[in-house]
Amino acid sequence: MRFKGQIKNVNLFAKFCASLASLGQIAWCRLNDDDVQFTIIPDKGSQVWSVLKPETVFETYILQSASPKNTINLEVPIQALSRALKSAYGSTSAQIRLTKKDNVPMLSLTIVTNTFSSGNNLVAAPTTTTRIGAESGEFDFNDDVPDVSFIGGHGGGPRERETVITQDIPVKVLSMEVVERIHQPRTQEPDVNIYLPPLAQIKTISDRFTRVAVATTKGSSATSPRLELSANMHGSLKISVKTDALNITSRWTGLINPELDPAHLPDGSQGVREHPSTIMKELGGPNGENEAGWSKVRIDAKDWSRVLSVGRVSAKVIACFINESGLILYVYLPNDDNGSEDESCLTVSSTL
Amino acid sequence: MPTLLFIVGPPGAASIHDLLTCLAKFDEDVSLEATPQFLRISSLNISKTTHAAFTLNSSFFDRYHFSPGPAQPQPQPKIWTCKIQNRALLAIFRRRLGDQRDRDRDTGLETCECELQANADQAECRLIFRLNCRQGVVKTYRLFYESAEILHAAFDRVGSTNYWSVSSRTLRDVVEYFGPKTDQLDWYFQNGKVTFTSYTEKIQSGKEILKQPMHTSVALERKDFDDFNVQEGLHIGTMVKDFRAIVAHAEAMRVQVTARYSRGNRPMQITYEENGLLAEFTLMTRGTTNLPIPSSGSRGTPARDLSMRPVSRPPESQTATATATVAADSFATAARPSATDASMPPPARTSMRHGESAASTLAKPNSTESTLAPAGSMNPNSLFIPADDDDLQWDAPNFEEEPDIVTWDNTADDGSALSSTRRVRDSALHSWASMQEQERRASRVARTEMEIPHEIAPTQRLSQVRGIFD
Repeated sequence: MRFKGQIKNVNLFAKFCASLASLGQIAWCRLNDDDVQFTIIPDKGSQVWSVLKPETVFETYILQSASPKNTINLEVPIQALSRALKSAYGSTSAQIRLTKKDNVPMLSLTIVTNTFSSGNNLVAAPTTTTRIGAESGEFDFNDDVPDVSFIGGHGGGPRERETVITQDIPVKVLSMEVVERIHQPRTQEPDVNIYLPPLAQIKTISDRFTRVAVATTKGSSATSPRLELSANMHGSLKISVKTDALNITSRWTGLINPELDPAHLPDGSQGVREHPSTIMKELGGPNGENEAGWSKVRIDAKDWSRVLSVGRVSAKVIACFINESGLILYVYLPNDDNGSEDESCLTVSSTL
Repeated sequence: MPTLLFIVGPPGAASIHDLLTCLAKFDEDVSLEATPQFLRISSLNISKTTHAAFTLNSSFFDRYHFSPGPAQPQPQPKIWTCKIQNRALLAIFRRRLGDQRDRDRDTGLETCECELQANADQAECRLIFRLNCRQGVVKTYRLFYESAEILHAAFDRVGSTNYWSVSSRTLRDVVEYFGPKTDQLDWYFQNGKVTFTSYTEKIQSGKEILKQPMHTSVALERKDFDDFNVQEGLHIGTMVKDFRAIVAHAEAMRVQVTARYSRGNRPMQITYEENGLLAEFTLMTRGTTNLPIPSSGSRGTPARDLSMRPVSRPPESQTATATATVAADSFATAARPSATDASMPPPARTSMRHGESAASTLAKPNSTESTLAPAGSMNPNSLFIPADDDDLQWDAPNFEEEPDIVTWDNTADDGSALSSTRRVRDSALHSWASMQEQERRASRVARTEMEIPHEIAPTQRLSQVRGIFD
């Protein structure tokens, strides 16, 4: 069992993990030849199912296991991973690998940072790894002695300071049987699909509403307030909060409702015509103001605030409303330089 | 009777605040020792593993005077000592007391005087602190103190041949990488690299294994150190919490930090010095050669020899007493060697003479833990969307802890009544402020209100009203 990867996009990976970390403590991480999946299923609150293309965050991606497609399943304390990745901000090189210390499997992150004590223009040449770990044994053993071939950078100036940081995160290896039973929940076709406005706006306003709701209902109930989100197929989104004392609504207009791709539906263009969202669009009337054209969900305000933590990856987000029963957010990570078509996607689903 | 008088200006008051904050991380009491040459403020932690001492010599003060008083028939020691609650001193030397930005404030600090009131004809002895502020405002604090015998950490400087010296910034960079819940720190030098490792000794298994804090090691190059002479492969173990406290204070002073030690299980001293302030931290160390290198199979507790025993002891007896001496024997006044468990040091068995002081320290709960995390940098009450790309804004706010307070901001149109309200600058600069900070500010507002006759501010300017009534 072996996993080793050179991380090329540390900031994105760190932000990605940080947004997962706000939703739960433990993530199920499935690595295979095709993709990297992170899944969080908390006891209550929203679930996250995410798929990363290895090339989005990894420069090199080496995987080896006895399972098909070299699959490795891990249970990862996501907050620790997120913190470890944060310490790699601005690093020259960051490498992650699965190893074993004292019989405890670890994700070991090796970070090399170069800092300059004065403002000279030396550009640090990224250190290259030449060493291949010991082939024997089930794991890629780390003998914990700083490996000279790995540390020995090329572009050293006299004023340059090189620091090597190792962050070891204990993980658990899961067997195939354990993870076989975990499936992404199936939901019905959404009534309304809409591109959300920048999440910074939504988060600030939602949090403000939540504060107002908490402040005006103080003492009456211990339950967390709920926000009402609604959207139509005519580019409008509303967030509102209602308490005994007040009723506030913020409304966005001019948003984009994504077109359905007939190729993704079983019945093709027939499926598009019969799709709930097409029906909702008609129900909205000529200007979309008809009440029937709005799909509405009520969500736990604090859970929503945690979900919105995903805004830190500055991605585009499509919200899928299933009237009165659920809300799914599809979060597309910013494309890498190549602009590849297989976008990495993070799905956050709040089922009511 | 002894007389003690010292005067410090705003920068001195700020440094006293800093050092008190640092000492608060070790114990809730501080000890003061005055001699004609210097004033020493020190704390010894409850497990007696760390002694932190700040020696302020006369160049630190604007004025310093101490005399032990008239000669007694019995020769008295020419020093005066006392013990005082750190909390009481921190209430006087508040944060930003000597801050330059506050000096234009109406009641900014000008000088701070401290005087000892201990006359034979007076029933009560007090330590009097007088803060002379602008506009003739004088704040006087009278503190009780208890006289105490003070334990000193003995450190064999000559025998401690290993030393390194490094800028506080480098150490701060190292400490920043450590996980928040780790407790042990180990460092060693090998192959031109100095490696600092933070880890937790608690063994967890099963599901709990994922809750174990990260194991972090940071390797620095030898050339990052300005002065370096360390035996290769020698492991030194100490506590992350203590090291953090030291580095935080050193970094506030931007100094060169020097560490001296001989080997594991013997005391180590970290020192730095600037502007008449000498900081000396004497820490008990552990020889953690077994960590963090994983050994195959059975590991067992390594032989940790008792520091006071002769080195020529047979190895079998070393393994038999496989616990580390942590505390007491490093302190001169409690020189009896005692074996105590390293991972959880009980109060050291001291000699009879100090049984009292140890008991009194024990009786009080150790409440010096401060785990205040800075809140998000976004003003939680702002409806505006923050412009900066700050990652913290994405964290879910704590809706219960930070109450939603809607207030009128009358600072914008009311430039003249500066002291009556908190200022825009304060709220802008310190919107990240911790609860402690808010408390402090609140108390400052309360204080200024007490000092200045309270006036009800007009709701409208007279000029605006004129024309309606006349």
